[in-house]
Amino acid sequence: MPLYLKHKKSGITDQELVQRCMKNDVGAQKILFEHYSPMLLGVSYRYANSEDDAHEIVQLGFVKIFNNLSKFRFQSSLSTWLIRVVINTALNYLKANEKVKWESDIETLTENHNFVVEQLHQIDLKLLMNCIQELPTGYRIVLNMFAIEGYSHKEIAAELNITESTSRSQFVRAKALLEKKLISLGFDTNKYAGK
Amino acid sequence: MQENKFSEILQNRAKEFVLNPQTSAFDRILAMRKLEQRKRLALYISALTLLLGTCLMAFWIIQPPLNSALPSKQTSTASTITTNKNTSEKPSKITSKKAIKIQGRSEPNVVSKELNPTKTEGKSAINSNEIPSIKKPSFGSNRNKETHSLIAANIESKIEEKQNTKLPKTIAIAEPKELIANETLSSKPTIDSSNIGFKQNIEIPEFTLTDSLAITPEIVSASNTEKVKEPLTFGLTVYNQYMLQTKAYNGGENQLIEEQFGIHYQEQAKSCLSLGFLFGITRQKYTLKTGLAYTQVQFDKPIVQQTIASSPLQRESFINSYGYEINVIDQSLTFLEMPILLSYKLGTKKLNLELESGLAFQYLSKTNTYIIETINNKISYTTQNDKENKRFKAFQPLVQVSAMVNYNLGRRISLFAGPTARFHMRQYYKEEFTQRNAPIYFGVYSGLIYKF
Repeated sequence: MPLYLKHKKSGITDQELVQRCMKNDVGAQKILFEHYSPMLLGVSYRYANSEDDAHEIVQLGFVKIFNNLSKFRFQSSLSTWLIRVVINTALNYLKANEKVKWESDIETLTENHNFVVEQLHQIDLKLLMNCIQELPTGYRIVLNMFAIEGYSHKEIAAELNITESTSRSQFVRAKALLEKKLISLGFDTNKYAGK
Repeated sequence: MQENKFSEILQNRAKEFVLNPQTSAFDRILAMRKLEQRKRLALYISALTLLLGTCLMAFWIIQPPLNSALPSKQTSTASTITTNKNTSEKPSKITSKKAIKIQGRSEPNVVSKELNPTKTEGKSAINSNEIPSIKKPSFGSNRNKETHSLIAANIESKIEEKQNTKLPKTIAIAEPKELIANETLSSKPTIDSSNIGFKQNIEIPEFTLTDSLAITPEIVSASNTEKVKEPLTFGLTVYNQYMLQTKAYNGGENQLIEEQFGIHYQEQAKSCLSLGFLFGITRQKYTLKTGLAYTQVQFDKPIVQQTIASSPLQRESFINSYGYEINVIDQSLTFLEMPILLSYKLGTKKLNLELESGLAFQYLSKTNTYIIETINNKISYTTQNDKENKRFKAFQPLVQVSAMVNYNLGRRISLFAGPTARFHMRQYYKEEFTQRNAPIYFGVYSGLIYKF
């Protein structure tokens, strides 16, 4: 039985768990890790260049989390705060370990793309995440932050120190490139164009 | 609309996606935390050591070495001062009747001297380290009347200061080799200077001396008091520094960043202006200064030049790689600065040289950014404030070395000017791809000092 289920069954609230973790209770820290790490790994996987990087980001993130739990004020849910920490860790990690990926098919993309979104339901989840992960770093970050995390372009621009217009263009191009990748994998978007 | 739906679906699918952690991940996290704690501890210890070192250095500069203020010969001479601490009698009032007579004598001798013998009998010896020793006046063959007059005047002025103080009855026995004071047991005590080791007989005018001399032996020599009371002065410096960054340090003007796309970054000269004030503590020739300054680094020309990568493919590829537009150009950086400087003054004349070096810590408070946008093949410049400072390192330590010519306008005010150099320990940018070095500046340092 996973430890996080014990945690839920034992009725320990997040607040109690955080307080125990702040007292350097290793058991509580392990419960916190085992409960939230699968979700946080899913988040970091979308930002990272590879699965190994995702694991490393989560580990770095948990070091930060345990060191800074006292700063958590319970003004939001614990999971939201943990995700935020992991995203920041991922951004810092990408900045520090920038790996250049030159995509040769960028010039063929157009900004006004008629992307069919319904098909996203039918794609295998792991495949979809892999496609996101294979996007160039700039595209991937903006796509994740805007489409999934729900940041505005203004917030992204402030976070990444880019202009809002750059953020917008990155997102449009990310969408277009994601569609192209799905097509190349045999996912025909035209098939659903009329629906 | 479609964009919102795309986001909504992606959000839902992303929430479903979870991964199992590696088996030893938690242990690795604990190990990383321990390592981090050790590093932090080492950092704290280093910082504490640095702080203690700085304090010790400041203390060493400010605090005079005690032994050096006193003549070494005096500690070995037979100079003993005795005090009758057991007596309950009031200290004797200083009157002209208890005057001590000093006379000159041709040959040196050693004679014990007892002051105020009429009221004290018991003598308890006190070590020379308990009471400051007597500074021997430098009697010599060329000693003249003026010298003695000066000493006498000095003694009398000090005696006047002591007249209103109630002091224990004191007996002094002084046995210097050269200064011998002999007091008779009569009601009018005198100092017989016949034992003073003059090589020649000289005429010394008589002057009165009371027994207060016995408890203030250090005042015999004015030069001694100057050495004991080392001056500790405070000053305020208002200064400005105007500097230019050297191109040579950057390894040439053009640096090839990406060979494949021929993107060059051109490091242009940057000017740096600092305005600030320093509070200084001066001890002898050393001054320890600290204060605050406002520093602005201005990029005279765009630091980034996209020389070849003009085609859409190359430009977009570059943007995709680095996540932001290449045409974002940073133009000025504003720092708050705290220097900690140590200076050494050469010469004590009106015009002198001062060497200064130390550390300065800069905190980036603001950046102004020019953005060049190409719209319909026309270039437009806009400015943007970047308060987040995401691209720049917020903390900049640097080393400063200066040599100034100091001109004293008066007793309190002086002007200074001279060359200065600054060596930054880190580059401004967080990103490593820029391949820029930490900047170095050369310039002019000038200002005004007011001594309190």
